[in-house]
Amino acid sequence: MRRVVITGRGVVSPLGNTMGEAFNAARLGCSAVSPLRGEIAKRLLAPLAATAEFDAQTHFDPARLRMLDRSSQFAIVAARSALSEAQLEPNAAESDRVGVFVGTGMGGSLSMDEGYQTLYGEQSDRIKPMLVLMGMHNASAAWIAMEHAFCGPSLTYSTACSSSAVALGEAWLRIARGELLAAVAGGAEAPLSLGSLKAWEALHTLAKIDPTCASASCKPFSRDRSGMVLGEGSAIVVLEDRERALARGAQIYGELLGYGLTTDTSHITRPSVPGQAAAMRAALASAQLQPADIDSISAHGTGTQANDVTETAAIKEVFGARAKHIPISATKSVHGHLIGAAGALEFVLSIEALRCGIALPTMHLQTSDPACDLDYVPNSARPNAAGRTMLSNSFAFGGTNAVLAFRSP
Amino acid sequence: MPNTFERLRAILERDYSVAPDAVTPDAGFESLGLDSLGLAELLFTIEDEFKVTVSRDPVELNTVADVVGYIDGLIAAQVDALADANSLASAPNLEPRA
Repeated sequence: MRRVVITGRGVVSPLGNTMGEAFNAARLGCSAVSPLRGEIAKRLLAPLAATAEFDAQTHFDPARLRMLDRSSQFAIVAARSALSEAQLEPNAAESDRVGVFVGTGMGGSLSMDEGYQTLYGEQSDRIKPMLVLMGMHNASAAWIAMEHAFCGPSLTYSTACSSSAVALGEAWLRIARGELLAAVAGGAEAPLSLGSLKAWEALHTLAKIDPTCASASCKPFSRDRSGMVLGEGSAIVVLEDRERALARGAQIYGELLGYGLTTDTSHITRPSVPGQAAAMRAALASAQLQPADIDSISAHGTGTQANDVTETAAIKEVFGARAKHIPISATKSVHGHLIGAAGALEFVLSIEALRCGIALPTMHLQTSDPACDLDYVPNSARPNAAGRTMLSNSFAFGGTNAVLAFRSP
Repeated sequence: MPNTFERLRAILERDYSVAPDAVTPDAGFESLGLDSLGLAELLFTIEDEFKVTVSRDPVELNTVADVVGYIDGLIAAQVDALADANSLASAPNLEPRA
């Protein structure tokens, strides 16, 4: 197997649109969760979200912009940042060995929601001609491939909340097997339409507004947690064959070592300890690591009742008594749940945390749930200078558990 | 009031950043940067701006002059249809009494 390294990173996120901004906000625990305003807020029981500050007009000309759902806008801009940092520049002979792998749970749902509003709300039969292109799940991957003339596989993964972790893992596999030289991989999501928010609300998964501080409403592993907060954005990395990266003198930010993937078959939404534990074990095996090699974990950590208890139990099952000594970070507490982009955002934040020798904090954690009794790095970042190797968990409705194993360069 | 050509030129400048000088009657849409998708979107905009309904049947529209002629034809057909409707409304009722 070939070794696979990260040579570029790009984000459009609630925490900022550069790696520096996003990482600093995560490090300092600056929450991007805030109340929604306007008409949409009146229709929601708890109008909260983590929105990205993003001016699309500065990135796209009007004709192109009219073809792009907000999720694709995020993905394209994040990919540009990652590729600019990586300076990948494959030659013509290499271009069909560079692929694009994007995860998204809801694709162009924001555009589709607007289309439905036209059709059903306004009773108009005139739908925008570009709606199919905006709504299709593979739009982001297609636009990135076209913009950079990457002629290898352009693939889209939709496994709900683990979509981008799957995209990263599948890209890793192809480079590790020697099929590709490099890949642009990650996820994008723009789920903050009334339709999506109401759908998530109907599932009773969304957090209540914290009465004293709305930005503290997402409280993973806390006794008073009440659910997740939806977020939007994209995180994209350039994965590259290590030999190629070294040969061209590229800056290496980390190494993706392996990837575990399992499916719960017990329930469409309820997470399962055996399934999550099996995914972590599969990631360790794929990376040729032992549990003792893991220095910290980026938790799926949604702040829902079911996830946090189950994930805690699964970590204990894999790591045994040592589980209590592993720093576990749940950064969704500050950037919300980006659904199909969540795993990729948590991956790039974790890679940077390893590089900086810290464990990122889980914010808004004053008192842990008694069933969540591990070290979640509550409320402030912690030095973790000896930390070299991490797991990042992403668990999804539909039962797709994806775990990435990686280390600092 | 600007004529159809001038209004179309303004749309092309606004929505597709086409330089006004490039919009001539003979200009092809490909040369103005509009492919088949762009033309489909332009027809949608034309429906909004000119208050016409574009046929769902294929129409051969290659140049600016083609589209100007097509819009003018749709507007003329609407005027004719309105005139017919008005004349019917004002015609004496010739229905036989029951």
